[in-house]
Amino acid sequence: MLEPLSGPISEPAIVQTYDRKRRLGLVRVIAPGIAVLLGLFTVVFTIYLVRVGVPSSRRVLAFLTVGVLVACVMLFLLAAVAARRDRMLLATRTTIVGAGLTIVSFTILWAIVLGNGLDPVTFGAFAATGIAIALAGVLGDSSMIVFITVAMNAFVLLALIFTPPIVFPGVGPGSWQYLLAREQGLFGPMIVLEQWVFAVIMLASTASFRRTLGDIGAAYVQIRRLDQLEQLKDQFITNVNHELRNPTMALQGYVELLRLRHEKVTPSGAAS
Amino acid sequence: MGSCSHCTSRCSAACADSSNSVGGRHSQEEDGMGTDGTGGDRTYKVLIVDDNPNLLSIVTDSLLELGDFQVVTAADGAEGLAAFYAEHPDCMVIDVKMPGLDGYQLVRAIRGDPETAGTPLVILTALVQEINRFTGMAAGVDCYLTKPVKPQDLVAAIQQAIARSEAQRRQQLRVLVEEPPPEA
Amino acid sequence: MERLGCILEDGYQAAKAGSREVSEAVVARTRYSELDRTANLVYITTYCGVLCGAPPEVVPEQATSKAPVPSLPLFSVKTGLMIPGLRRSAKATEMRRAPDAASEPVALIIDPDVASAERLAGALRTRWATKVVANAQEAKAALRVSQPWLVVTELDLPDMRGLDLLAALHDHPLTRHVMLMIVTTRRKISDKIAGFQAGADDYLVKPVDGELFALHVQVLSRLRRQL
Repeated sequence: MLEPLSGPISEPAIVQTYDRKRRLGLVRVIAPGIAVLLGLFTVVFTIYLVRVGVPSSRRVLAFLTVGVLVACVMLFLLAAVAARRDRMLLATRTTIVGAGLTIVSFTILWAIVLGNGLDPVTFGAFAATGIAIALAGVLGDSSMIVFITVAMNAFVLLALIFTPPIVFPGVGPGSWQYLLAREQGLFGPMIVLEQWVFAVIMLASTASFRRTLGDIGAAYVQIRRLDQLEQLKDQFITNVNHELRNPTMALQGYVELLRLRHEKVTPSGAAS
Repeated sequence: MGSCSHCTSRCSAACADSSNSVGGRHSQEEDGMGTDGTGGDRTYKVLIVDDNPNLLSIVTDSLLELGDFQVVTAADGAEGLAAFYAEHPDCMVIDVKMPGLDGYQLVRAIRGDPETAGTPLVILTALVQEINRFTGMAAGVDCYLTKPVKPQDLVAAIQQAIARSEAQRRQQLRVLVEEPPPEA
Repeated sequence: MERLGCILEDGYQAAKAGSREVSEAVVARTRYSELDRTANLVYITTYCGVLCGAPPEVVPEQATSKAPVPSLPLFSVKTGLMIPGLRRSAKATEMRRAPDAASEPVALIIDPDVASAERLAGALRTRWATKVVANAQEAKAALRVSQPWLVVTELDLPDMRGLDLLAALHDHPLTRHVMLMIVTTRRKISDKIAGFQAGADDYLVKPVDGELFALHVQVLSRLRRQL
């Protein structure tokens, strides 16, 4: 039968191996994806801050937030590199820490730097769109995830257009700077970023899962085929043995018998 | 060579042969002790079960030539089992690949019944792979022979099987279960 | 003589024809060991070994190269029906729950004579988790609950013929791997032949010695690893 090629095999070991493979695979996709998205957002945000200007009382905090965002991008890149090198613990923990820091910095950013706190509508928008995409990932397939994400993007943009502007102090209406200065100017990219982060996570998770199933299926088919061939081989050997050894025995047996009878009759003794 | 002048005609071939076991058997006969303890010239009844008629004929002729045997034949497993219950042979020589009941199944049917479990059984088969030998011994036979087999060796195996005790059979099974089975 | 010559010739032709299959088998086996691109695939295939019906290895405490055949419940729950063609086999692996080091393989003993069944169960107690039932209905219920690796049945059951139950177990693809033994009072030739043809692996006649029965079971489970 098929022998395992290495090491003791038990259920915990196999589950562990599969889990490891799955988690590494997920980090390999998620970390770079989020690093790119977050990097883009950090650039947009920094430009925004520079353009709009921050009251001096919050400048330090603004710098801090940008710094933390940059650090998070670094963390995600580190996670991507670690995943490529099969360092699972480092990769997964760095990703999780990075995600946590990102959320914290967003909260600080929104509540403190921009000065309006997290109002319920914004919070609701964040949460609801995130949940919608997560559900699409759990229940549907890749196309469903992308579709829902785009739909959520559209929803957010429409909401932006139709909600009353929340004005950042210091900028008058009528100019393009005013448009940019509205918090919704940042609100949009922020929520879109969050939606696509969810989408990336769900897509990676689904793809990884399907690949695992594909592996199992392929290996199963291989095993079945091998079994068939093994059976064929055994049957063949049995048949050949049967076809060759039976007549051989008959022949040899009679020759031996003839020899014995001959010896009975030869001059070594009189026939009894 | 000439010490057997007082043998019966059936034994003279055995004496002429250099095979020790057959000579041993002959000397047992001389001492008047059969393996079952009864005295005198005992004819062993052997049942051969094989679907190949050529083989049945050669084995029958060999046994009749080489020793004091009474031979009954059967052509497949079911017939073999029926013949066993009808004839009550002292030993059975069973082939493995047969229509109807398999050789292994026939052995198990005989070994499974405490009334008949003590019957000496010998498998004579063309299957030579280790896994087949293991399966045969695991079914409970006393000897596993592969074709082609010399008539003298077959006779020796039959005698060896007859000489075995129940305790030895049990011990063989125990040992078989302990050791790792061979790879196919 | 001429007939023997013909048989030899047939054998030779068979050898020539069959050698292709043999070489295919050998090549496939070599290629399979190269399949081990990652350790993961090796582990998958060991799991899939369960799908091929390998019975549980009754495992000594130290893990040797004959480690316990792992079960696939985690994956069968996850994979469920998602791979076409794997559907039935995934369900099969759910049911063929091979034991891990903690639990023992399950043996089901069906006998209206409960005393005799208990004696058999006692002989197996050290290495098997036994369940004793008295008729076919209870047996079917027990089969639904946990898949046994060994079923020992009497032929004279009150509600169903033991032979029919045996044949059903032998023919059904999900229970084909189960070792089937008959322990009965019937000793007629026709019963024995019918028993083996229905798919029994062994046929014992009562009264059965406990140690001998345990030996037979052990032998069977050793053999089934090979088949």
